[in-house]
Amino acid sequence: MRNEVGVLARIATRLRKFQVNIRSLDVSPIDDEERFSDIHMVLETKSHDISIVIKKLESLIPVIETNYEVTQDKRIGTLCKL
Amino acid sequence: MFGVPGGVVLPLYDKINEYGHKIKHILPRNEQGGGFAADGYARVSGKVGVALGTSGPGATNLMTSIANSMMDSIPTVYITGQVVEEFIGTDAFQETDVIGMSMPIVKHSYLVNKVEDIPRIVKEAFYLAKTGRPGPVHIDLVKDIWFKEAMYDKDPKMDIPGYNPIPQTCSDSEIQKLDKLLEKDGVKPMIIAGHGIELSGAEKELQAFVEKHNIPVANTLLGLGSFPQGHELWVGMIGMHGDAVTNYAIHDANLIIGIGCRFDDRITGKMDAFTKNKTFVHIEIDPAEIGKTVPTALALPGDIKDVLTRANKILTPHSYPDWWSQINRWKEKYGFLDFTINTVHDPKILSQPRLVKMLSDSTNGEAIMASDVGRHQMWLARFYRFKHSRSHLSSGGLGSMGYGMSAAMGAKIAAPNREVWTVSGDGGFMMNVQELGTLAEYKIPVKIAIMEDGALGMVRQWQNLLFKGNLSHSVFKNPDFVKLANAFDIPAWSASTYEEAQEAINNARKVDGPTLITFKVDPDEHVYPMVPPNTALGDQALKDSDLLQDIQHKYDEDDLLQGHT
Repeated sequence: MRNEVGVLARIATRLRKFQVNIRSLDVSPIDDEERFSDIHMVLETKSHDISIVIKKLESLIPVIETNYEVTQDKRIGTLCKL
Repeated sequence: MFGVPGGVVLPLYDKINEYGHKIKHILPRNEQGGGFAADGYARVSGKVGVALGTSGPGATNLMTSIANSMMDSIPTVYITGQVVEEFIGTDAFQETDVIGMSMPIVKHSYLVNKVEDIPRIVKEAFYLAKTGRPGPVHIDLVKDIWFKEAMYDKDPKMDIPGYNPIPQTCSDSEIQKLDKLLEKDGVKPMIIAGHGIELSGAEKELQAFVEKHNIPVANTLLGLGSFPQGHELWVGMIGMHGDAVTNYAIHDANLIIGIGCRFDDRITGKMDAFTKNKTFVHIEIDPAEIGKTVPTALALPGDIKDVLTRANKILTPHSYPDWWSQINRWKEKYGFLDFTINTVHDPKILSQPRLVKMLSDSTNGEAIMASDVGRHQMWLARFYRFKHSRSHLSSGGLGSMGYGMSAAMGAKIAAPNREVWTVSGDGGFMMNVQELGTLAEYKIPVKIAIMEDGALGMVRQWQNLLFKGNLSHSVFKNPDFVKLANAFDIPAWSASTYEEAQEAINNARKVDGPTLITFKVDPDEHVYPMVPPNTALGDQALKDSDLLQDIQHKYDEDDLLQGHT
């Protein structure tokens, strides 16, 4: 994702809309110029298929790329390399 | 651009007239009205609508308009001023965290604090707003930058590496799979055509697709106009207050092809009943909408115009004579498009469906109609026969009262050669009544039709039917709308009979300027069909007695009261 002010708020805002809880979160810049960051999150939700929520995250403009894994319970997912 | 100046944007306004030949600026009387006007402009023109407000209250007044554009995917750019950068975070005068406030209701937003970034950000904002799934983009500019200078870059390089307007596009072989679904024994297909058709400009491709396969096509509220309404394959509007035939057909169908729609709760009714025994195909530009509410057997992501163009080349023709026989029987039984069916009203008072029919006949379905929100909105959708795409403006997703007149203002500026009406309830009209001043000052010839019943009509209907007639705070006293309009120098008429109504419509159409008609209508005429909350489309109520008598056994009272409104 773009390393800029407010980007975490954009992600958290979208997760909150879907009532998704962030179980863990780690962020760090990945390039020398610090234009981009990786974010690694473990997410859980009681009411939605997490893959739909991640598709919604992908539509955020500062998000460059997503990779994710969903546990057998589709309500828990691990999102890495945002 | 629809903008209201204020403290922090004064430097911009100090310069704006120098660009009067390039920027047409309209001063609305409230930022919300300006935002709705920009939204209406965008819906009709297909171009990006722009609204502007100052910091603090100017920006917060825009929020409802921004949310409206977001819910209905309207290409808009909202510009707000922000306090000088060193004051951000100090709770300065008229400082609000508007980027934080708008974050959940925009496609993207920018806080601009470097003057050299302005050309790139403005270019990106317009690009983001109108490409892919359209939506509102918010630009918040700190005051300082208006006093700084930078070289103007006419064609700046955009820097949005993560943005792909069409994130996924289905292959031809995926489209081919639709053939098998359409060929299955006993298949009863229905198309639900949504707003995405209009946004993609795929009206002709949709018609070709429908005619090739002879599939009944229903529209969502925002999809109205995207398919010819006189067409024999059109079966009306689906939804909570859709056409009876449409709802029965969707309920009975076993193959649903959703095109540019998002299967929201207004069209599905009770979800498990909606999805039961059905196979869903979804053609949609936003992959996040596919599978969001209904299980999708065949996902066809991509730009609708492109997907339908390829589908029209690839797929073989089909026909469904037995299915059509059933639908035609329903059309006859339930009085398809008959405005006198499913309505009971005091014969001494004007009936809204009939008034809408009069407007439709008088304008020959050629006008742009901007609706407000409430019962009239549903009757307008069902009984005005739209002849053209981009002619029906309605706050579909947000359902924001106060939308109609302002949206019509934007529509008229977008299409100066077309006749533009707004139909509004008295409650909604009063929510942005101040825009009468804008219409009058700029002589924007919008024709206003108020359905005056002294009540919040849809609220009253629900209170009558579901809350045992307890009309709690839904009745109010109106001003004399004719005198009010006259105070703005706007010609106005009041009508209590159909003869007066027709004469007023004829008079209004002759005036080269804004006009207002207030129709005295029955407050207790209910909109039917009505799919009560948590109820299947096939269990729609067609008249008061369906709901009132059957409430004990047909519908679950707890479901009705606790279900999503």
